Amino acid sequence: MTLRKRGVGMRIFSAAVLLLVGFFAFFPFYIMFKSSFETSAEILGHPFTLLPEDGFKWVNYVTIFSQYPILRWLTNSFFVSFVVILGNLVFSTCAAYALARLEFKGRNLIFVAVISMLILPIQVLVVPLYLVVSQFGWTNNLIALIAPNLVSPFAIFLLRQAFISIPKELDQAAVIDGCSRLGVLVRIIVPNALPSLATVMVIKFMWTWGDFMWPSLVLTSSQLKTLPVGIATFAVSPSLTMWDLVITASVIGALPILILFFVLQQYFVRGLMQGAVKG
Amino acid sequence: MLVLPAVVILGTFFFYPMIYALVLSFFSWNLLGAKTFVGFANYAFLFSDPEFRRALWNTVYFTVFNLAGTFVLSLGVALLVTRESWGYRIFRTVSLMPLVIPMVITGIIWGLLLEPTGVINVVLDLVGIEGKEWLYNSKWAMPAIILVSIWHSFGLYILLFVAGLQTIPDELYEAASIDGAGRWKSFRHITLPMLKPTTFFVLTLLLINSFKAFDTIWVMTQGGPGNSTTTLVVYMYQKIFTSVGDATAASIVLFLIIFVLVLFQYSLMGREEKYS
Repeated sequence: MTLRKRGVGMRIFSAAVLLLVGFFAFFPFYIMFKSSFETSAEILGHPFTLLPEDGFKWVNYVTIFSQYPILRWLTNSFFVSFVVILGNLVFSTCAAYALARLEFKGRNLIFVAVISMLILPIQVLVVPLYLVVSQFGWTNNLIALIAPNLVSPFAIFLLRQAFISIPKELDQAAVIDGCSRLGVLVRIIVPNALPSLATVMVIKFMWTWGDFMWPSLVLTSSQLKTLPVGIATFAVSPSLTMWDLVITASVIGALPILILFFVLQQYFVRGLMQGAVKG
Repeated sequence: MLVLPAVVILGTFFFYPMIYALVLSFFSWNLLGAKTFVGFANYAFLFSDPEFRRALWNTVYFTVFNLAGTFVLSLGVALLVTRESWGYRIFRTVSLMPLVIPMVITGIIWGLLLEPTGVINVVLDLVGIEGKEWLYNSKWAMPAIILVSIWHSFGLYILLFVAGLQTIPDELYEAASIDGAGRWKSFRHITLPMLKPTTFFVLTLLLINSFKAFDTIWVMTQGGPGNSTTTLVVYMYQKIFTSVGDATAASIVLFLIIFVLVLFQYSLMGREEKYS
């Protein structure tokens, strides 16, 4: 820790700047929450008020749940995120274990490939990936969102680093006690790498939950949309935006990830720093 | 056996598409008809297409200001954080909130704030500045999008800089102050050199992420008004259903740019390690 001595003036200045920048970060969220309780006319009306003019009205939430398939979009988003996380916990863990502990031909090659894919953004792959998925006949099917994400270079990389730091003696002791390779993975490696697994879970959830470009390309049916894609359809042409509904849908889309973030912050912070390339 | 599922999935959805993209970038195809081999004609078209050149220019414009703005803001704030006090922890949470929400929602919130009668203009009015029609004006749309982009990710970069600053040993500062170095001298001769690895990392990340910009732009302006916010990725996305060859050629160009940036970072990092 860098404990540099500072005068009172400097400390007040620092606090003021942090407060100001923090306000810059937070204010848009406040406007989002506040606007979700207002009518379209009030949201952009004059004069600007810090609180909804006629108190907090839930009418936007009622409208959006009763007249739009937002529940369906939420379900799709949760379903896709759940399967993707599950897939990564199984497949990425297995791959990371093999890369960290087993000797086999092509191991280094696979590891180098994983590293190089880590830096490859989805934006570069999206065109050919679309063609591959349409060859499989998966367009307009949730499997198009799930299959390519069941394994992620980020998860393999992060888990491999975590597995390597577990002492090999633990494995050897377990093998002597009659444990198989899979037994070592389940009984020794996984229990010792729980924080990293949690990091993979929250970061994968964040990415899958917020993913837009890819789902917006492959999904066309309204019933199959994930939440970000569904929300974006409200906002198609800027001049006709139904702000009351869009902003309410945004609150609904932001809340699950924000709550998860508040609860599991340490895992987010670790994951954000390690997966910064993808962010 | 354990790596097989991973290899199959990564092969099918990462490596094969990559190769396929390279192949298709030499063909003319509109998704339905037959593919015709055209050699480098797609690439030649891209660089002669004024829209593509505009997209490239917009991407550079966006990158320069997004990078400069985010860098100055995050390094400046990080330098003010000396201890992990409760105040900083609250600040960290708040500053990371924009990063964790879906980028589409970022675009929507800011679309609302930047409306001609939105909060930004209300605030500007309070300090006596005339409001702009931000996203509806081809001159102001890009600066507005850069502001949104800075808002979205500055928390991450503060986090990285604070982590980097914490690795600098206190003894260095103590020694410097015994030798009579002032605050500026300490900063110039201790903080900056010691922070170099973090700085390189942050700059590369910012560069790569700037070249990838898409989601918020798509939601806020869809590249408009009049191509003024069409970046490389927006251009690619618009081309995908009409001309696969041009779209894949554009994605190969994007890949090459990012590849070169990463190589550049590695070579800089490598040199750093050799010297230290």
